[in-house]
Amino acid sequence: MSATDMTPSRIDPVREETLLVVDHLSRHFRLGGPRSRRIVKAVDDVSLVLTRGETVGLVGESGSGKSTLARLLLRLDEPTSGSVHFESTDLFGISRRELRRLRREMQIVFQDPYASLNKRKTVEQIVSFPLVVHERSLSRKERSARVAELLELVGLRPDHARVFPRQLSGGQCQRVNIARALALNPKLVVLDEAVSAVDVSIQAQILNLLRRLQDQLDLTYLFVTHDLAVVRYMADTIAVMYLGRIVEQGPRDSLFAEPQHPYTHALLASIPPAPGETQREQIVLREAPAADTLPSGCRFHPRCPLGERELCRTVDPPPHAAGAGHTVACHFPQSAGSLLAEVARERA
Amino acid sequence: MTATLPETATDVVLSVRDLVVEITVPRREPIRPVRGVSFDVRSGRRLGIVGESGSGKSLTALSLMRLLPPRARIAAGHVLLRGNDLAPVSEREMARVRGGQISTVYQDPMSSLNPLMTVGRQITEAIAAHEGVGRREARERAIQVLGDVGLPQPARRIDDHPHQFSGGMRQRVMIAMAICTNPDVLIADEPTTALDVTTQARIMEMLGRIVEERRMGVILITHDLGLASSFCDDIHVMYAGRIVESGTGAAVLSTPAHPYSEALLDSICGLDRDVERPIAAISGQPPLPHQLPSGCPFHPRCAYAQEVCTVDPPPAVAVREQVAECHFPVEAGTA
Repeated sequence: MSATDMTPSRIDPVREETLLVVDHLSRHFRLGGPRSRRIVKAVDDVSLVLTRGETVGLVGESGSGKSTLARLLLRLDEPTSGSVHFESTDLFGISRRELRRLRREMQIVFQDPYASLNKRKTVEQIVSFPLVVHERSLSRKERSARVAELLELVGLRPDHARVFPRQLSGGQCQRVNIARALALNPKLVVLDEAVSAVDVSIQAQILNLLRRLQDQLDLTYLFVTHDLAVVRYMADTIAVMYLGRIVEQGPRDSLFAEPQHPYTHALLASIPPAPGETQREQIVLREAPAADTLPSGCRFHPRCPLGERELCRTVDPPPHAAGAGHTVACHFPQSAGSLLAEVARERA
Repeated sequence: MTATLPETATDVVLSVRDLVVEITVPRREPIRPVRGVSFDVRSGRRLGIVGESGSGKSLTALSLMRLLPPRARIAAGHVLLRGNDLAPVSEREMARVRGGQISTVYQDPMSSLNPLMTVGRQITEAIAAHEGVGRREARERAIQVLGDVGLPQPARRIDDHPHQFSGGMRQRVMIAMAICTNPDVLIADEPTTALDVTTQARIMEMLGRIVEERRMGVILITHDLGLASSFCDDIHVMYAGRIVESGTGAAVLSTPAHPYSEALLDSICGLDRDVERPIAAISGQPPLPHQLPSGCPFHPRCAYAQEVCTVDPPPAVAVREQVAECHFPVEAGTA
């Protein structure tokens, strides 16, 4: 591991475990012209902590803001308000120059394994590019050696260095993307739907590879996905996003054993069971409202199976504690069984 | 449960026999992404064709509609719709079959709908073209069918354009368009892959209800074994252009006979699996059509492969309730 260039005295022992702190982060977009009043709150008051060596899973459907949040954590976008601290550095308070240094520590792997590779470059050129930019003192030979090392690390052969992306399968391309992300020994890797576009038989290979790399290199992951089964396998902590807000967050075991938010219940119930698993009882959500008007009160209330309750229509629910490290932003948090019973009672 | 009793043969609406699809490649031997595929579609039954990308599942579906890409062609075999071979019919007759007796729902509704036309016009056009009814009646039937697929306020929304609908609603419109002529066979090619999970569940539920009511034969093309197992009666697993295992969904999924099906099931990241143990991934990559391994195409990735697997193409053997193309099918109880 590369030596830390932060002054160690400034980090107290409790916070040493913490790699990244997201504090009340928001990113709003104005729709239409500059004087338009239509505002999309893509990320709205999100707080999150990433612990060193662990994985936070960010789950949500399209439009939940999970990718906007991921981009903010790498400062690929600027927030409307709130802050992100990487170790003790304020990510949005530093100069371009300092940012460039910090970028080495944080890398991203995207969904489409082909689109994220330059098809005119060889694998060697692709993987060594971060080294060319950030490690200028390395000789060509040293770079080649490092590329060979990286390819082996991600399960590719040395002769893959000379081929072009089109000669590789989707799974192999994703390994190249991972190798490039690891070239500078980052501390944080954001995986944005990194296995969503690869085949089933390859998905398992990549997931196992990512878990092995995390142990081996002490990496911290932010794992962004729409797939709850995959996130359960990968993440220590899980945050469920809906329309820009984290509606439920907690340690994996607690969140999967005792989910509390009706949206989490609906997500879990809508996964087709893997062969041999039993189908959970369906929790039917109502139709989604138009995206450019944020509902009043609880943003989930127009789709909630509990329907239009006075409190839900008027008051935005703050996060309540629902167990150790487990919070839920709902006025009526409850188990799936109790939710189904309540829905049935109201319908009767 | 024997699915092949002779008396059920009358239910067969579409029968595919020894289908071979060939693609010409400049300065090279043509490749064969589909290499002898046979199956039957029965009215009111749901058939799942499961495979990874490159397995030949989508080209199989496209050849049923005779919509293969320019360099691809049906090189051998028959596609029999109620006994009539579609492979040699004229393009003009084929246009009547498409959207009439066989319809398709594709993955991406936005690219299959005309963005400049109201959804109503697109559906009434299909009804008018295939059923020869007047405009007013076609419109009434369009509203009816939009209601059937669960579109709220169909009479008002019929004059909206595709971009005014959410992804899930657009897919409902696509389904309405596919079923508005009451086809014998509905091909659903990854119909919910582009949709969110909560939407996916509701669309599949609606699709199931519709095909039940109208007794259509359905072919679901998917890479998702979970989806196939919850939706289909029968499942065919494709690998490297062949159906390597077929049987009822329950049988294939509970006691797979082909090592590939077994390995694919083990590699699924399900909600109930033990997270401490790594997933049993299949090693290697699926083969490319111009680099097919000798013998059994799965042998380089197979845990049970023997000498003979590298030499001889495997025979189709009956195993329990399934048929598998394998020299050493998986015994019950070892899975």
